[in-house]
Amino acid sequence: MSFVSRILAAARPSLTASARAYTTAASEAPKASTEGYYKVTQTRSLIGVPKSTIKVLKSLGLGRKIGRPVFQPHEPSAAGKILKVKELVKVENMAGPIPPEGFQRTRATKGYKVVGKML
Amino acid sequence: MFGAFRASTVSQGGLLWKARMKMDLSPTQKANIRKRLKAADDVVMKIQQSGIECNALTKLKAEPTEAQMPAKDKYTVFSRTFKGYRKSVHKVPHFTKVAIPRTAPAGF
Repeated sequence: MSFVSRILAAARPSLTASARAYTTAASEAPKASTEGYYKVTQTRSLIGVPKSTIKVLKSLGLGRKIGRPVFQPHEPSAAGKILKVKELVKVENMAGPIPPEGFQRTRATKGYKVVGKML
Repeated sequence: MFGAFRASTVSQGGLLWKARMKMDLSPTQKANIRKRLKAADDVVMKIQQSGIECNALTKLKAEPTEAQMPAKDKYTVFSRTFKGYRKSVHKVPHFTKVAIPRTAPAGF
C-alpha cells in the first residue's frame, strides 16, 4: 500500500471492525478439542490455475477427480493450504478421527487378488 | 455483405466484423460472480469455525464478505491502464478460479 493510501485508510471509518462478521454461535460445528478433520472436495478443474496453486491442490490430495473427498487434519498447515485453494474447493468440518478411507490410496480395483506368495 | 459499404480488399480481409468489446456483464454472469464469492466465503467460514489459527486466515478475516462488498467491487477490479482506473472483472484471466482482490486501492 502507498504512503498516501495508508493515510486515507486510517482516516476513513475502518472496514476491518465489522469484516467477516460470521454468526458462529448457531452453526458452530462440534468443537472437537482433541480431534477433528476437514472433508475437502474439489469443485472446479485445475485447468488454467497458476502452478503454485496446483502444487498446493496436489499436496492436499486433490487434483485427480472433481467430487472425490479428501480428509485433512485440523492443523494450521492444512488450514492454510485449503485457504490458498478456496476458489476451487468446498469444506466440511467433521468430528472425530480421520476415517480409514482417508488413509487409503484411491486407485482402480486390480481385477485380481493375491492369495499367496512363493517367496 | 457487412453493412452498406462497398466490398474492398480491406473489408474482405477478415478484420472488420469482429464483435464489439463488451464491458457490461449480464445478470446471469453477475449472479454467478456472487455465487462464487459466497462459496469462497463459506470455505473461510468453515476454517474459522474449526478454531484453527493461521496467517492466511488472519489476512482473510480482514477482507469483506460478499454481503459487505459494494457492487462496484464485486464486478470490477482496479486497473492502472483502463479509463477510469477500473475494468470489468471478466477481463481478468481465469477470473472464475483465481482470487480476485476484494478491495481497490483507496480512492479508486
